[in-house]
Amino acid sequence: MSNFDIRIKDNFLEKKIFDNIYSKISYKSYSGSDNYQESASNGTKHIWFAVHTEDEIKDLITKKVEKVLNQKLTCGLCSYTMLQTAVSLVHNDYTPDVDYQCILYIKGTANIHKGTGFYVPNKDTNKLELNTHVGFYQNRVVIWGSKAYHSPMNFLAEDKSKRYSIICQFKKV
Amino acid sequence: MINDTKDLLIVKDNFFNKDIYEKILINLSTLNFVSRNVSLKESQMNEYESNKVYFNVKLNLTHFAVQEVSKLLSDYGFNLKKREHSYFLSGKHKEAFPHQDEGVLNCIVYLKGKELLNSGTGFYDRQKDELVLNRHIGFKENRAIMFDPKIFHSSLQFNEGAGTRYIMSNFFDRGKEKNE
Repeated sequence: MSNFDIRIKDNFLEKKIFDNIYSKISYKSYSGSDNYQESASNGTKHIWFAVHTEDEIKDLITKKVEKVLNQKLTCGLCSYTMLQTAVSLVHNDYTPDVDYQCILYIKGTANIHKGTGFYVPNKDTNKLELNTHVGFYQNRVVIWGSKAYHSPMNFLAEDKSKRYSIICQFKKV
Repeated sequence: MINDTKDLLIVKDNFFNKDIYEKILINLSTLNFVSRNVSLKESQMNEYESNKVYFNVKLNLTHFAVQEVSKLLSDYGFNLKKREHSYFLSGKHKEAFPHQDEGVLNCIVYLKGKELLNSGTGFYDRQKDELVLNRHIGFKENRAIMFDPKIFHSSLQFNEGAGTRYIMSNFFDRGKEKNE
């Protein structure tokens, strides 16, 4: 349960491509109607606002993630997302069709409390505890095995500004 | 093949298989750890060394654990040459000391200790000429952290609740082993 296989790579996209995505990401038509996940820790719902990326962005990210993982993948979901969470939302996204997922931080404040936290079960209490903390940093990708419990960490930040990212889910080929 | 370790950080749990991991734990209990203050020459001591009390055992390139790390990294797709390998035992220290290392990949494997956020390793980003903690990897037994040694990093065994830990440190250069 919750064994980590996490890869973090900075300067993930070439600058020209990143700058192009960065300049447009605030202006997408985000929707929150069907994007939610039940939290494992407190029953609250993890709601985010999303819109599908263009196919060329999906293909580009898939190819680059394949390089980092040294693994062929198919991408089932690739979305631009906007998030401004205020509570802890520990969950995992595992399904038989999702082996790995990633978040590519695009626009927001560089801050350890604006990124993603990963949790492990406490051996004594079996409760999930924060064990690893990856901060927001523009053009940083975080890729992980989908069984890992995680939460956006914005609830810890005093700065409540939005963060914009791209999230993807992959199945091994 | 993963040739580009630049800006890369990997966190992998259950790094060694169960048999190798248990063999390493037995190995740890039989070795004579020497104070780093004794094993290092004065000229090698820097601020980091004097700030932190720790003990180590240097491992030769044919040690079974070194061979295993090398094999696992090769399975990951890394094409690297072994350089320097040790077991370390360290306790709580005073403060973080972000630093860089030589080579193309560091691989730290957490071996024994309490599974705490504050017994792990911090990674720093440069923001407006300041180094800012932006990735905080917690301690978990049999977890490997592989990273570009040019990313500023520091042991975070100084925060509240930090415990004693055994780790294995491995420094790699680019290139194949001579006998491969």
